[in-house]
Amino acid sequence: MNVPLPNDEFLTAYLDNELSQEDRVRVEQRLATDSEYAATLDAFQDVRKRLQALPKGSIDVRQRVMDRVGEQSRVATGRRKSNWQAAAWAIASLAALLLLGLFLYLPERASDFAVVQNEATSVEETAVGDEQDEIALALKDESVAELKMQDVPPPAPQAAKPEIRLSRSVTADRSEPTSQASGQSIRSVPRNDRAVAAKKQSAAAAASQPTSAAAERSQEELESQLMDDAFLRRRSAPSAAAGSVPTRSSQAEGPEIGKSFKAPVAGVAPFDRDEEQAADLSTIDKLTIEGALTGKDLLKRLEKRPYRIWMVDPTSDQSDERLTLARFRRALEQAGCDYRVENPLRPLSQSGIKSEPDRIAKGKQGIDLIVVAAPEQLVKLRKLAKQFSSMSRVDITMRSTRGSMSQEDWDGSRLPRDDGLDPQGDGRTYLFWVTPEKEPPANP
Amino acid sequence: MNQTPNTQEDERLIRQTLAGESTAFESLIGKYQNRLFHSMTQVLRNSTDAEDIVQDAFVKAFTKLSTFRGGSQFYTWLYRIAHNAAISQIRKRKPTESIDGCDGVIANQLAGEEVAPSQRLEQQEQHQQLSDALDCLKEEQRSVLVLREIEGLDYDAIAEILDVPVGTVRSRLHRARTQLKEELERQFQTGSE
Repeated sequence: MNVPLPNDEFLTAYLDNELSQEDRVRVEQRLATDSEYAATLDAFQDVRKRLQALPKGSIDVRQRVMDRVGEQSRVATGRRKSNWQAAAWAIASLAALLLLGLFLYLPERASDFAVVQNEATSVEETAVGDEQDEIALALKDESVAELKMQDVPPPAPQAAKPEIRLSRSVTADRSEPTSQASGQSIRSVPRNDRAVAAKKQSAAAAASQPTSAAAERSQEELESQLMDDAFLRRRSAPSAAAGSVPTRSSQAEGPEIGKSFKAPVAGVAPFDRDEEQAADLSTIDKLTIEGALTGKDLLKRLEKRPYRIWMVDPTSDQSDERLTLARFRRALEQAGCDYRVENPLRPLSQSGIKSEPDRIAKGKQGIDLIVVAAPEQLVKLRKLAKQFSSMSRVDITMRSTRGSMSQEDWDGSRLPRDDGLDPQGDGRTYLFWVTPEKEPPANP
Repeated sequence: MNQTPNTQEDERLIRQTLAGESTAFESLIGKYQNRLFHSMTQVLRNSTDAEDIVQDAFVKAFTKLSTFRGGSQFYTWLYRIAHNAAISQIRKRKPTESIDGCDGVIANQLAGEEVAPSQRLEQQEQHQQLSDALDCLKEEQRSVLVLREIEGLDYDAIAEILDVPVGTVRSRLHRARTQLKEELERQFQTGSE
């Protein structure tokens, strides 16, 4: 009876002592008579020796691991405490709002009554909520209005402030309102009741804003679309000269059409992470963990190719975070980085994005860097990232400059890797936390 | 062949950790971090990534420690956590080129020169050749090779970690060794020309 000879795969199992006794005997019989078979076994043994002789590196991650597990414990405890605290604050805030509402409502009713009694012309104000903050008055009684306009002095700047702020919140991240909005076009009511005037101006401004805001949004969408196309062309054609392509570098500080940036490195793949890029970003990772990376270092590495950056605006208008992000954007400009900043957490109506599917589609195109300056932004980002994760499988890795923000702030916002994100994406996204104390480089 | 870790000591450290003694977990980290780092470096072919994976694996192990049943050795369980993360990371990168298209063979530039290499230099060259050859393997082949040759695990343990049949372990291992052998032979021949 002819028994088939054991093939080469048997050698593998033989080498690993994973053969039955019977098969072992068969292999040894063949080894004794087949020199080529024996040479293959020798080669396998040589491979083993060389693998086992590879130099072994050493690391010490104990402190970092214990720090992280400690952070997670504090976060869990903090969350439990903060739930109770949040409930208490909510109740207190509600009570305060009710009191404030009563306080404002009752005097206002008295003022209104006084206005009627004085036969002041009812003023119907409409406001155009653009940057210039022009408030148009439509007066029912033209003669009275004419007389009153002559009598009414230019309103004090304080009266104009509420209107400006409202406008700013609609056209968020635009430049400071110009002096035209200082109140020259504002007409006050004859009684000079600033509380009433401010309230009516605000209401009228809110009522009329959609008209101009809608036009502004469509213009913004068009600009956004043009910039998207130009930016994406640069990302997909890195060998093309990018110097002449006008770019809007930042939504927060207004468009800067015409400013050119460095051409991306020729041959660098747009969305794929080539080895150089991956190594570069990995270096950022490592340096950041060790606390050695500053914004300046990061900027140097961002010069290489078009970067798509998410930068989430802080909620507070005058916060340090806003200033920090503004500085970071300025630093990107100075460094000549080719990038595009987007704020994915803006309401759809303000973001230039048409719909949620459109937002998700944009997310699928690959985010290179997410920059935040406040921990609360990350909670929202996490939800958004999960949508992208499920569709585009983007991995988000937490890193930071570990600057002046407290450890607790940092801990509370860390995204653990097993937080439902599917890390099988088309590239890594790095999360970078800029801190208020990190100034941009003067000369990059 | 590498020996398996002390199971009783691991169990004691795990009990202490679950009881709230964080120093016990530090001991576990100190015991296994270098071994895991070395293996992950070979799997990922990147020491920086490997260090990240090791760190993350320990953090996750700590978080999930109460779920460790003790049916397998702690290190095997830990390795599985790290390995899954490593594979995910690899798959995020560009697709690994097929062995047919692999151009990772690097000619031995020192061969043919009229300089007698020192033993140390020769070792470095050999390491580099092996490293280049490892780069040519598919990640599934590299994984079984590391588990067998570096970790010293048997087929059953490897099958458990990779969640594949034992027969698959054997066939992948055989392909990995064959391709490494051929790559090393090709490098040698290229260096001899």
